[in-house]
Amino acid sequence: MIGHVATHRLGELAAGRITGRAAARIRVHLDDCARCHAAWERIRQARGGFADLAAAPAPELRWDRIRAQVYWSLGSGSYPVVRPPAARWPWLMLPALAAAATALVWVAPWSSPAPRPPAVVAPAPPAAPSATAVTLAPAPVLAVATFVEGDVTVRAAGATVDAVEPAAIGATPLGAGAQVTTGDGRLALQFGPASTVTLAPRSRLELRRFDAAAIELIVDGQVDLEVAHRAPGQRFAVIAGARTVEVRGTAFRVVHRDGEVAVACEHGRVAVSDADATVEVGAGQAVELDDDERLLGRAARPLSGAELSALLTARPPALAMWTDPATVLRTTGPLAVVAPRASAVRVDGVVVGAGPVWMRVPAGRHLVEAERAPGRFAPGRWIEVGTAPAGPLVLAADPPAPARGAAATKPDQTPAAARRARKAELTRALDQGRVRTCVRALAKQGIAEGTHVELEIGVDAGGALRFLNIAGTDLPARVADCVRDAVAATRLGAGPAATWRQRISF
Amino acid sequence: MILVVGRKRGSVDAGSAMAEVDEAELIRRCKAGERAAQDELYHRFRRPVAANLYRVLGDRGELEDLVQEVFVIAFRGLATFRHEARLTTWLYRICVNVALGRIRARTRRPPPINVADLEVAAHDAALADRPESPARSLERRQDQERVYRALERLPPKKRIVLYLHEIEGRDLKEIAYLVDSNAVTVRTRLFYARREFYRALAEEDAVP
Repeated sequence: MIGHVATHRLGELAAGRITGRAAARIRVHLDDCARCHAAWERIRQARGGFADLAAAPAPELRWDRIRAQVYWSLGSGSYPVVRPPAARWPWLMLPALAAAATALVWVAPWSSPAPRPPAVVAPAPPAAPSATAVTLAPAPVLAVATFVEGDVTVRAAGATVDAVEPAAIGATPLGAGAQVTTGDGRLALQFGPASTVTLAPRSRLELRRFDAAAIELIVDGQVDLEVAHRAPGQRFAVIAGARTVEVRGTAFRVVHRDGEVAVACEHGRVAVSDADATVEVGAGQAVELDDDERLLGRAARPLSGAELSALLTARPPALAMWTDPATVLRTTGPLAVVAPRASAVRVDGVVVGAGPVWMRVPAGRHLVEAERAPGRFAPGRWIEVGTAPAGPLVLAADPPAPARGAAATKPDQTPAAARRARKAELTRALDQGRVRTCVRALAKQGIAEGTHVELEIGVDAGGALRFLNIAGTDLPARVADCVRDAVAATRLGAGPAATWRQRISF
Repeated sequence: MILVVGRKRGSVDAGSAMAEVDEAELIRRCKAGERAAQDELYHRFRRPVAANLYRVLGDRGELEDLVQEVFVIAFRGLATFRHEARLTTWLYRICVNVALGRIRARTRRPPPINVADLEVAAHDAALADRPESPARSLERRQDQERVYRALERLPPKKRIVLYLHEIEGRDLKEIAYLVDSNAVTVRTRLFYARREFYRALAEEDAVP
């Protein structure tokens, strides 16, 4: 064959659309031509992934939110209205309509039966309890405080605990009868996987019933709820003044304040009812009423984008691994963060509230950051959270800038001294056995002698690594990475912040 | 014309006749304003719609907005739906047009597929169940990245046509219906699209 094979012909060959002698001629050329062979390999390899691409599954999305947005866009409340197409010549319909109306006037008096009153079905009397039947009390449900921010007071089992001891609030599961009051703070209770109650500032919540048969919450103020799963037949109701909000499985907000009740539903569906009517509030809808206003005839309105965003951000993150309160208390740990008041606190990249904050998190290392300026966070601190209570993590505000003309305060330790101290600390704490494991294969061949890895290391005052880079090495990248990982695993204590280079030689 | 969204041609099974009856009933109920039917339509087709958009575009960015757009168009247009095609095909046609608009809008942006997206895709249950070595998995992702990079270099109309033909295996008539064109135009676009696409694939480095 003269010349190279066109790339689209290679694509045709890979797709099996070129066969027989034409295919054989191309294959002969591919055997001889390195350039075409390389192109062929790339095309064949890429085509091999076409089947995977065509079968790629849908990623998980926020389906309820999309549904709500679709219905808002259609401007039809909770459900879309499918309008029939307009008739092309509506005036042609007029005679037919007139004839139908005339016929109706003639026929109606004789054919239509007298209107009957609506059937009234008397509620069945409750069955009398049998003398021999054993009535089992429904199993109690317990909630765990997973988030405490600011001023909160909890009254449970005759004792009152306030936010001075947030760990005490989180240490005991709360059941029926518990009352929570917030000043300028917030509190989140979790009682199931992704099932949370978040009480907003200046609000009061009472767990009137909290068992497998029914959950009844009395709210005065604002409460945000997410109810992921309920026990079979369990009733879930929020009582706000004279209104009852019944949950179908959903995330929503109830506000009962200054004689007004407002219910907003983020996703799912709730039913707001009073003595004579029920209004269903769907995803992305809200209904507002005065205490003395009748519910009859009221309809839900769509939420604006800003209102929906406020709903989405109102709840602190729930604990993902929920089993039962005892296990949760055993396997998670308290994280207390003292940050400047009104400064946002971010844990593992998620803004959870404004300092000071107490929350329950899975045991392990967590990155905690405090807001330094609106929208800007100071470099984070890694903190190891165990299951036992520990002291609070203090994230102080930046020190004020020295006044102009004033002498700069002399730091306690010079940068050079800080570097020396940190270097010595790392040398002591480094797991030498692990480092030697990295070069074991090379050492067996006798070529590890005299090699080195030079690292550029930065730590903050808390001992957390700010950066760790390989500045130079004569070892293979895999081995150097292994050494760097060994250094990264080394825990340093609190001390001076420093940046230095450290050479690890073999 | 019978098409099934998300499947290759010819995979219409024995239950398709029943599915057609079911779909017709669903559309009738939707047009009658039955709430449950409208919800059912959304729940039945939300994942296929998202999957189609995801495959055509190759990234998750703004996927929720695009799914929303598809359903808004679908609900608005349902009243004029005349059963020329299956409901799934009609929805797919909307998906293709929405995706086309999206591709046109981002022609100046860098290639959309990145490792993070592919990592997310790798966590999908269907993929996670496959016994696959990490090396093979990485290789497969790199292949997918290369394919989308090559697709990004094509003009939007050619890209859609090439995707539907080469990757989804649809024939010219089906593609013509989906892109609202005729088979001759599609064949011409496909001819030039193939040239550019395979040239882009062949010129790429084996390992990006």
